[in-house]
Amino acid sequence: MKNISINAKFLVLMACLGVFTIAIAAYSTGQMRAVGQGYSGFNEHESAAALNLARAKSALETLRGSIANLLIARTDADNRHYSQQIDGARKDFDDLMSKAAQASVGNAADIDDLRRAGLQTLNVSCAQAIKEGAAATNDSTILASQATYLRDCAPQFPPLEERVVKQVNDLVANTSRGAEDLKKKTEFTVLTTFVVAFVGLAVLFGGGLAAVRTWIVSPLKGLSSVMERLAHGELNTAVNGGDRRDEIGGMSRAVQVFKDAGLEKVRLEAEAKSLQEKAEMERARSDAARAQAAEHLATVVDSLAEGLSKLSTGDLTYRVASPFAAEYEKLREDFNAAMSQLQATMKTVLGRTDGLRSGSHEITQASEDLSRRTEQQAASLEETAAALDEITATVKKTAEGAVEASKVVATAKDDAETSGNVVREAVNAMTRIEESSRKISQIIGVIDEIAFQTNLLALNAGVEAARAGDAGRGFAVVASEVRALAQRSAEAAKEIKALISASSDQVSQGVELVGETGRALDRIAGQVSQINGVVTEIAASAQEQATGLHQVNTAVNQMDQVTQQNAAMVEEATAAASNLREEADGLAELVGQFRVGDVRPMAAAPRPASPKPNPVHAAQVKIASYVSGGRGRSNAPATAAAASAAPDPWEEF
Amino acid sequence: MARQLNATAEIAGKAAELLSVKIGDQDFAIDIMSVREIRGWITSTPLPHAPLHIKGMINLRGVVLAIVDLAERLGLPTREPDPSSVVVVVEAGARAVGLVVDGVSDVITISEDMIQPAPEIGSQTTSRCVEGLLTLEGRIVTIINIAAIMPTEFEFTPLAA
Repeated sequence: MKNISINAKFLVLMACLGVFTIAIAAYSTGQMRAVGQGYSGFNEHESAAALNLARAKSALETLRGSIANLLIARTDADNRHYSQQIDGARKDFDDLMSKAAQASVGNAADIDDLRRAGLQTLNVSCAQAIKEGAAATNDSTILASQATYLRDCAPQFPPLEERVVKQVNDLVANTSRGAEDLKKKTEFTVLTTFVVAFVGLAVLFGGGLAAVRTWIVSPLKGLSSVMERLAHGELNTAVNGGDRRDEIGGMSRAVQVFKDAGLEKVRLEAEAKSLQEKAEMERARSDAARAQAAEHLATVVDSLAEGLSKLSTGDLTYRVASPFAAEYEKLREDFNAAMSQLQATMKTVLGRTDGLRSGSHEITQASEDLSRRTEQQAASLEETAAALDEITATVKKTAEGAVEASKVVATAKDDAETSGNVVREAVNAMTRIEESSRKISQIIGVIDEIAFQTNLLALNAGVEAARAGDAGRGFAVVASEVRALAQRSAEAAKEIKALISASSDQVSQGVELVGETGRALDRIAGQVSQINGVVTEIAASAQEQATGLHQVNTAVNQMDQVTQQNAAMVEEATAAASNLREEADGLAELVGQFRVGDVRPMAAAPRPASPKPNPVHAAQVKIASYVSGGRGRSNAPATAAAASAAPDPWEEF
Repeated sequence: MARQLNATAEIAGKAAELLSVKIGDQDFAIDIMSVREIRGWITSTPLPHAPLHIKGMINLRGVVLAIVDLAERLGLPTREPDPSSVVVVVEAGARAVGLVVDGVSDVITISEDMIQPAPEIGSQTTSRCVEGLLTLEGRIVTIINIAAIMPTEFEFTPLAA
C-alpha cells in the first residue's frame, strides 16, 4: 500500500461501502418481488375461483326458479320461453364452473366433480320433470309434471348448493392462509435486511478506520516527530519514508532537504568564527602603532587649543609658530592661513559695520520724516473730506433750491396760463361789448330813421297846413313843434352814434391791447416753461454733481484709509529702522571686540563729512509749504524760504 | 307861364310861404303851394334813354312818377342819392314830378318885398329857372321856378340847346 496515493486509498474504502450497499438493496428487492408475486397469484387464481363459484351458485338458483316457472306455465309460448331460460342458465352454470376449475390451483378436481354432479342432476334427475313441464298446458298435465318435479328433481338441489357453498368457503380459507404466509415472509425480509445492513456497516467502518490509521495517520505521526526533532536542532535524526511514492513520501523528501540545509548552516558558522579570531589578532597589532600617533596628535591638539583659545578671546593676531610632525604640518599652515584670512575678513567687517551703522541712522531719520509727512497727509485728507462734505451739502441745497424754483416756476406757468384764460375771457367780453355797441348803433340808426321820417311827416304836415291857409295856422305850429322834436331827436341820435362809435373804437383798441396782453402772457408762459426746463436741468446737474461728489468723497475716504494704513506701516518701518540702528550699533560693538592689529580708518572713508542734501527732507519742506499755503497763509512766509530751495516741489514729490 | 306869373303876383302882395331845401351847401326854396308832399328817398327804376337829370321813376301810390335830380337839372355838382336824400313831389298844372334834394330845411314865411331879382348874367336859362333870391340870416336862398324845370317843357323848348 505504500505506493498508492491517499486519494486512491479513500476511493478503495468508498468502493467497499458502495458494493455493500448495492448487495443489501439487491436482496431487499428480490424479497419484495417474491411477496408481490405471491399476492398476484392469490388475486388471479383462488379469488377468481371463489368469485366464479359464487356466480355459478347464482346461475343454479336461476335455473331452479326457471324450472318452477315452467311447471306453472299453461301456454305453449310460456313453456317455450322458460325452456329457453333453463337452457341459458344451464349453459351459464357449466361455463362458470369450468372457469372456477381452471382458476383454482389446489381445488380444481373438487370443482370439476361439483360441475359434473350439477350437470348430472339437471340432465338426469330433472330431465323428466322439465320435459313434462314443457309439454303441460292443462291442469292435469301440470299437476303431473309438478309431482314429477317434487319427486325426482327438487330434492337434488339443496345438497348441490351446500357443496358449492362449502367449496367457496374452502377457497376463501385457503386465500387467508396464503396471505398470512406472505405477511410473515415480508416481516422476516425486513428484519433480515436491517440486521445485515447494521452489521455490514459496522464492519466496514471498523475496517476503514483501521485502514486510515495504518495507511495515513501513523506515517504522518512518524514524520511529524522527525520534523519536531529537526526543529530542536537534532540534525542527526534519520528521515524515513523517502522511498515512498505517495504524498507522505514527498513530505519526507522535503524534510530531508531541510535537514541538509541545517547541516550546511552549522558548517558555515564554524568557518566564520575562525575568521573573527584572526581579525582580533590583527587589531592588537595595530594598537601599538596607534599609541605612538596619539602622542603626536596631543602636541598638535595642544598647540591648536592654545590658538583657538586666543581666537575665542578675539585675538586674531596669534599664529602657531612651532612646527608639527610632518603629517600635521599641513594642519598648522592651514590654521595660520585661516587666522590670517579671518583677521583680514574681520578688518573688512569692522569697516563695513561702520558704514552699516551710518546707513541705518539715515534710514531711521528718513522713516521718521516719512512718518511725519504721512501724518500731515492724513490730516490734509481729513480736511479735504470735510470740505467735500460741505460742498456736497451745498450742492444738495442747490438741488433742493432748484427743485423749489422748479415748483415756483410751475406755479408761475399755471398762473400765466390762467391769466391767458382771463385775457381770452376779457377779449370775449370786449367782443360782446362791441356787438352790443353795434346793436346800439343799429337801434340809434332806427331812431335816426324815425326822426327823419317824423321830420318828413312834420314837413308834410307843415306843407298841408300852409296850403290850408289861415285854417291850417294852428296845425302849422304843431307841425313845426313836431319838426323841432324830430330834429332834436335826430341830433341826439347823431350824438349817441358818435359816442357809440368812439366807444366802439376804444373797445376795439381795448381788444387789441388785451390780445397783445394775452400774447405776452403766452410768451411769458413759454419762457416760464423754458425756465422750468433750465431749472430742472440745473436740478439734474446738481444731482449729478452730488453723485460725483459722493464718488469723490468715497475715493477720498479710501485715500484716507490708505494713508492711515501707510501711516501705520511707516510707524512700523520707523520702529524697524530704529531696531536696525540698534542692531547695527550692537554689531559694531561686537565686531569691535576683535583685535585685528592695525586698523585702517576704513569706516571714516565712506561717510562724507557733510551729508548730501536729503531729498526726503527737501520734499517734506515742499509739502509743508504746500499744505500751509493751501490751508491758510499764516506760516507761508516761514516755509517760503525752505520751499524756494527746491527748484520744482512737485517733481520729486 | 302866365299862370305862374299870376301866382307870383298873387304872392307878391302879401306874405307867402316857401319850402327851403338843400343841395350840397346851397339853399333853395320852392313855393309851398306847388308842393304836394315830401317823402324819403327810395330806389328808382331807371328809364331807358332818359336825359341825365331824369334819375328814373317810382311808384307813388299806384301813380308812376318821374324823378328829377334837381342838382343835375340846375347844372350844379351832383352826388348819388342816399337814404338821407329827400324827394319833394311838386306839381305844375296837371303834371307832377319828384325832385331829389339833399335835405328839406324848413317852411319859411316871407313877405313879397323880401324877394330880390336874380342878378342879370345874360343866361336865359338861369333867369328862367330862378324866380328870385332871398337873403335869410346871411345866406342866399334861391327860389326855384317849378314850371321852368318840368322835364317836358325842356324837351320841347329850344332853350335846352
